[in-house]
Amino acid sequence: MPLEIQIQKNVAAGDAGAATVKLTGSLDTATAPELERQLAPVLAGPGKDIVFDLAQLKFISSAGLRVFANTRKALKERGGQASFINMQPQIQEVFEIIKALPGIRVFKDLAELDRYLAARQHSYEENR
Amino acid sequence: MKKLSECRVLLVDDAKANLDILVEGLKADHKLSLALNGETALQIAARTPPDLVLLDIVMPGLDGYEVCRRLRRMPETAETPIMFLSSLEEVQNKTRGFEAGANDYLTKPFDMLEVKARVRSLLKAKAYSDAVKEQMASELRVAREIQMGMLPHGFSEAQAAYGVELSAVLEPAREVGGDLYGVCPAGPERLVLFLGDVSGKGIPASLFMVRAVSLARLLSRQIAEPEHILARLNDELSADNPSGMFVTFLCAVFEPGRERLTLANAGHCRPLLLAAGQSPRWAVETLGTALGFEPGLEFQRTELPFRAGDAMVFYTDGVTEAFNPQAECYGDQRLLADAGSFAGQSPAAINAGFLAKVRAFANGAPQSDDLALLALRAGAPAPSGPGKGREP
Repeated sequence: MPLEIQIQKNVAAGDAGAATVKLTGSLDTATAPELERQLAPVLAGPGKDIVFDLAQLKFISSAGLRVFANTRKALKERGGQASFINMQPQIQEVFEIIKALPGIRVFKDLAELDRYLAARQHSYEENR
Repeated sequence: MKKLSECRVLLVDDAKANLDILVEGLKADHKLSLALNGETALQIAARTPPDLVLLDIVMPGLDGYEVCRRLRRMPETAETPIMFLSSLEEVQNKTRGFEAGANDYLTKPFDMLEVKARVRSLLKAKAYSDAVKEQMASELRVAREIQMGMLPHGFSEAQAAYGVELSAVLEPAREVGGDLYGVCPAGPERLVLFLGDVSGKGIPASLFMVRAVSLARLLSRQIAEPEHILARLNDELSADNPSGMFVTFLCAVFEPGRERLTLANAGHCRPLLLAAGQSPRWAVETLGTALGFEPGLEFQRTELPFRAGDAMVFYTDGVTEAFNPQAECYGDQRLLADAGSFAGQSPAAINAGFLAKVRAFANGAPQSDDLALLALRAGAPAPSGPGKGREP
């Protein structure tokens, strides 16, 4: 099964806006290098956060997890974070082994992510 | 590298006159096989695989395109260079030839000097690629020996010292792999067992496996508690890990005097507990985080009573993620259900039983993952008497 990668940069939210990465298909040994290649320019850009939309991701292997873990690490080093939404049950199961890491957040869907981001921004403003 | 004079060229043409010209031009430099039609060519190729095929296109019976496609499907000639020699000179014919799997195309009438030059060039490329493959294969064979040498070779000492039975199986999908296990005596009252699965496969996984297994053996003897072994192993593996490799890892400490097994899990598939007289169940509920991502992680411990007759099975996802031809995987639930039929059996029988179940399920579908099983049963082995073949 191939992997289709769609990367959308959300410029409207300013320079800290998140990029959304939609994955369709199978993220495995064969397809992980291509995702890594396409993420490189995003990680080199100014954005801090990346949201992975996994609604159409059918399969993930450890090679795929490694890409997520490395992305998390790169983002965390500059104060950003990797978020994951719309995870299917079989993906959720594999994901358990990196979920506990700081800098990884899993949300049920986009609405839940938005509520989290709004709350985070709110607390940031209050703390100023 | 194979000498060009030792290379065999298969010449295929339905016109004997054409074959004669080629034989005359090439016989001094190479070994030759001849075929006057496609069917014969395929038979010869299967019997005496050539290093190069010169192939006519327009022939009665199988035409050259079809012969080329069939040669590509045969394992003996899947990568053998094939050059078409044809009077068809349209670009469409040439394109079709390359699509059928050819490496070169020369139109008739040809100049023998050009044929000889192309033959030499194709044979050199083939000999070079064969030599690279052979070297790679021989290095991998040695690497496999080294890797297998890092795993325990026999359990008789541990079995006698701790009053247990042990059995392990490891089958890498390729020559080398990322699955690992260990059984480390650590004092009179502590037997440490571990099993892990490195992310990915092949050489990268095997390098990280070697690092993980060496450290785990060392730490098993230094640290008493499995959750602390994992924490320390994680700290070590996370340091200097630029490629972001990770390993899922289970660690257990068996204390025969206390009849206790203490487990800690770092993201690995849940081990199976076959307690005497009970249905199979998962020995731990927590998955935990895999090792290698980030230092400073903590792991949970699970303590279980483990008495004579109780058995524990560690396995890697090569078992649960074995696929059948319908692309379904064996899965947790089948594993748990099948485990019921192994109640009261020895660790060796349990492992063999799981392998048989998984193979039957996979039903011949090629498997891409490494596979490992490690089983432990408390209590000395039953004395071996006459077995089930006995008449009542």
